[in-house]
Amino acid sequence: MSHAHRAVLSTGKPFAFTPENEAKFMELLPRYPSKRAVVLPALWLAQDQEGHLTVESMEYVARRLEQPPVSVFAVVEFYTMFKTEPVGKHHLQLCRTLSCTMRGCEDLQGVIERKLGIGPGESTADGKFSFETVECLGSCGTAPMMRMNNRYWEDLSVEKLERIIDACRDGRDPASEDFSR
Amino acid sequence: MSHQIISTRFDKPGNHTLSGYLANGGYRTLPKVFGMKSEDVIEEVKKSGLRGRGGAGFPTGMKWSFVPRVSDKPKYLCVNADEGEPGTFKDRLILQHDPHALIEGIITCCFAVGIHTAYVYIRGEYDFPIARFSAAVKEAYAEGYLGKNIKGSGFDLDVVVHKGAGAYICGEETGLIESLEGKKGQPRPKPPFPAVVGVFGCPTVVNNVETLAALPWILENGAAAYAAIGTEKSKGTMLFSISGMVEKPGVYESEFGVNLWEFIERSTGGVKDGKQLKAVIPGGSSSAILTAEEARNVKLDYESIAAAGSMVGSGAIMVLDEDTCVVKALEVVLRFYAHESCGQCPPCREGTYWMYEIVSRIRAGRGRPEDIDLLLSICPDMMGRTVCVLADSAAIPAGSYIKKFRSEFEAYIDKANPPQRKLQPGGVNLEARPL
Amino acid sequence: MPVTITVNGKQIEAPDGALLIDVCAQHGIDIPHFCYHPGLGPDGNCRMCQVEFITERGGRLGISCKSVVAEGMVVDTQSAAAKRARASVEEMLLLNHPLDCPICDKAGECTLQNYYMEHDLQNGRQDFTRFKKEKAKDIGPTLILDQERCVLCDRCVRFLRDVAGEEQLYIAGRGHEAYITTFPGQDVTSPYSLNTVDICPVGALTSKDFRFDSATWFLKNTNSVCTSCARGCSMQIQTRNGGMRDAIVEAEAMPQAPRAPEHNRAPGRIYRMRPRHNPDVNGYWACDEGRTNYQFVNHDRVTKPSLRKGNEVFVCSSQEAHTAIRTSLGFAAAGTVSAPAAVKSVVLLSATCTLEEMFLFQRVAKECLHAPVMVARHVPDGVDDHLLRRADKHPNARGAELLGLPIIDLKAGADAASVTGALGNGGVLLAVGFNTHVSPALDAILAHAGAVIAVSGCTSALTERADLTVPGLTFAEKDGIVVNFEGHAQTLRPALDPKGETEWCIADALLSSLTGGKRYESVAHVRKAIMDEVPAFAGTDLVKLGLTGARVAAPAVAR
Repeated sequence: MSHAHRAVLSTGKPFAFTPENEAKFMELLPRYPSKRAVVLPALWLAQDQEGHLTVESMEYVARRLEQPPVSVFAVVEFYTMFKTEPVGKHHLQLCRTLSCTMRGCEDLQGVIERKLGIGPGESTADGKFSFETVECLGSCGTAPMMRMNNRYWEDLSVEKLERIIDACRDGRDPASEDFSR
Repeated sequence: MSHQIISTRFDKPGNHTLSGYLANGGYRTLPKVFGMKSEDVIEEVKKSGLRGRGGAGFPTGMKWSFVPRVSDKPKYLCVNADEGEPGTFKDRLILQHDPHALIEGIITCCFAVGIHTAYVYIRGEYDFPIARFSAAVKEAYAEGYLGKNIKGSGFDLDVVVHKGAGAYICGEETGLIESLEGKKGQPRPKPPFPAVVGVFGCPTVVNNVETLAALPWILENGAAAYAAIGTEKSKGTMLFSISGMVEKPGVYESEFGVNLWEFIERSTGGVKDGKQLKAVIPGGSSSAILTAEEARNVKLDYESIAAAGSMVGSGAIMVLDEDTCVVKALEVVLRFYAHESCGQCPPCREGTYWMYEIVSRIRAGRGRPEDIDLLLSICPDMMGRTVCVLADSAAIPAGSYIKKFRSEFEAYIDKANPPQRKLQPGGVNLEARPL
Repeated sequence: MPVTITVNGKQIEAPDGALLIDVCAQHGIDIPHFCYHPGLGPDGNCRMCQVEFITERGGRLGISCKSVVAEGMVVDTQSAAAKRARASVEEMLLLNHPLDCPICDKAGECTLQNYYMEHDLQNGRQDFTRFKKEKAKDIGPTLILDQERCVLCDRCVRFLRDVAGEEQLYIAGRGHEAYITTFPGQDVTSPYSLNTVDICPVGALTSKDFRFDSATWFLKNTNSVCTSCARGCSMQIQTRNGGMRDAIVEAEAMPQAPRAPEHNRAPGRIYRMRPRHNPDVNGYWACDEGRTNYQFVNHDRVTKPSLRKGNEVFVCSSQEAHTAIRTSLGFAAAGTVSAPAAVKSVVLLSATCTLEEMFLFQRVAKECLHAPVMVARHVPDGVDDHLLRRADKHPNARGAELLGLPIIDLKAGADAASVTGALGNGGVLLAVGFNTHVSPALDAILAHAGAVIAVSGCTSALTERADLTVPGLTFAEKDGIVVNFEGHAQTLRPALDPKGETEWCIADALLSSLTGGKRYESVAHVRKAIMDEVPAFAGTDLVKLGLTGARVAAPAVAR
């Protein structure tokens, strides 16, 4: 229950796809029989380009696909993965649905709150970390788990999560950590 | 005996590549399929008794046969890889470890129905499965398994990977269609059904990943071989995602008709840390809960689980041990459905949240004696009243948890006897934290 | 092929393919609904129109707005299950609905409120804190949005998208947090935006024009016609004597004055105009411009006859004014006349005049004055659009054409030559019905006129210049016929007490006094005369046009 009335940011400067994304966008168009069907893929390109969606990028996508801006905005507001506010460099999405709760995700939330001093929906002052609780990510067999930096972190324990956060904080890649030690 | 059909190649290294898949016998059925008449392929799938593995269990061959043979519009296949029912994580394994089996199944389905474009809608959070599957599609195009004139058959097929953006409801087939069209994923009233008016207003088949991945085996070994496995009405095998309080959670394949608890115990090593079993949720969080007693005495097939008052659903089995608080479990489940309601129909939009609020306050110690009956009276008002079954998916667990574990709910309300149990032993005080 | 269905035990014949909800409505069975609207079609989201279908396998609930009638269908709209289903939808919708009915503009005509009385009437079982959303949000020049009151029926979204053709509202978010919104920073600017207020089943969308003006149950309804363009949309004119806004104006003007009792506190005025359904003209809709173009009815009105003597203007009596008309036109103050007047004159009628006015003033011109009569289009052009709005801002130009009257276009500032030519130097101009938007082109005509007689509802450059002014009426006070550009005749009905003199009566009195003929007993007699004397109207019963009017003639070819 956290996504309503997200602030929508305006950068005040015009948005356009980078040449690389423009090429991807042009590749997308012939794959669908309607321009509207490209709304989600195009929003993904725009979000990946700037980290989050803005008034300008949503208007841009709407214009490129000949859609009313408000319909694009409604789509953005419907899907939880579209962000209209900046997220941290490391965005922790902690699953809190049934299997993860049974296997201790609330302890992990405690770790995040303690170590980073942020609750769900918040970011650290340096913008390095942001945190949100999410509903089932389809990884219940390796619960508790979270998604961060476009990958899943599974079979988490308090200690493992602490080490992941430490690695991120120290600028190391947590993916190269050996958690069996 | 334990049959393996879909998961046989999961553990084989390199199987996700085309060469690996070919070495493991992949794409062997294509010449056979292309040599058949398309209606014979449908007939074969009908005979196999294969049912949709996404949750509804609708007979796959019959679903295909609803699509008009001759259509002046293009026809489409939407592959439902928006795996989201809590407890389900099996399609992810297929996408990651056996993507070409899915592609082979897609080709089979499209050939049978006369489809030349398939959209694979994968949930946006599945970064790795998307990458793996996209790479497989790329390889398949490069080697002529997709695109124009597949392997000289004269059959053309394009496969487009479409990334979702975070909405459980897009796993509902018409929600998926809406989302694919670039809209909010709000389910459509039916009729018309997708087979007649689906994506882009055209006849459409929507099939789950696992359903399609089972096709190569069926075409290779014959419908009779598949139908011989399992029970009269639940034929073949299914991937079961087992999670919760068991020793080794994971995806396990089984033929239908085995004893539910024995299967869980055999596959996962039983309840974690030698605790007692409290309950089993057999078919995803939207299915009715089974007590330990019921779970020990029920067979794992569509008709037996239905007779026990629950459903096989997407095969997501969740195990609750003696320490697990059913009230908390219901609170978490209702929170999920309140969060995922698309918001179209008032009974779902308001009802899921209302029930969540009530259970939440019961657990917070602010419950009233009449709250339990209030919850029970809301359930029928949410069932069968809406465009899709999301409202039912919240009402069913609510009703069953309360009916079967009423005393646990009452314990929270009885001020003289506050509950001692927490959901799980842990270092923090779970009761004190707002959700 | 019609099919036979059974509803509540009654057999009903219905056209194949019809929607159950429509068939029931046609047979007097109103099935509650929020998202369905006959002008928008079904959507199926609100679940309020659930009824029970009785099948061989027992009862099954289903929504009637998406159900197509089929032979042998058996429906119970009042079964316990159907009633319970609807009552529960009502209860769900009220869970998060704010209890601000006492200050809500929609109260009294709110569907949610009405259905509560019909279905629920129980105390709320909800006791969590209601979910907060934005209230009183300014979303454009005409609309205020209250997201908390919204029941998310999607009607406004569908109207703007499917009818107005401009998607400017949408439901964003999901679940119980879903809300109606515009794109951030953008407004609803559709020229048809106020229809969303009409079709909003609750008070989520309110009109800036009407907001907080009146409780709806105090409004008196008059079925009339919009006169703001050549479309002539069927309208409800809603009026009230006194009321909040008048009281405030009065209180500000005279803070110490004792308050009059409300029933005669202030003169009646229009509070709101709304479209009413007319399948032949406007469907369910009207444009914002037409429905808000009523301010002039209560402003700058000419209320008393007046005479100019030299540089001074004197108020006179009605009788004096009538005498003055005769003398200005070159006749003796009384008595019938047989010879034409010595004075040259022109009768210039606004194309906003009713058929009856045009008909009688034409007779005056032809039978008494032997002067040319012309119908002027003087309000500047708007645009023709895809839905309703017409460029021609006059309601009765087509009626003038059918009467055989010449039409001159003054709106572009040109084409005054035919009038000035006819006036010559020093002729008398009798100008009727020029209430608003008096075109500058009229100035040229006025400059040529030796004397000006104005029959006018509102003050303008015309009445400033006039030597004799007789107060006329506005559309809201008239009983008369207008014919729209498609040749569809409808009747204007008086919603307010007249502030001036009825134009057709002025003409009739003049005609009768000059010719000695009988006066018409009523407006119906004038209509009969039109039917008898004007071939174009011979086939139409102008006396009984009914609420939606009748097609008189083919549309005009030229504007």
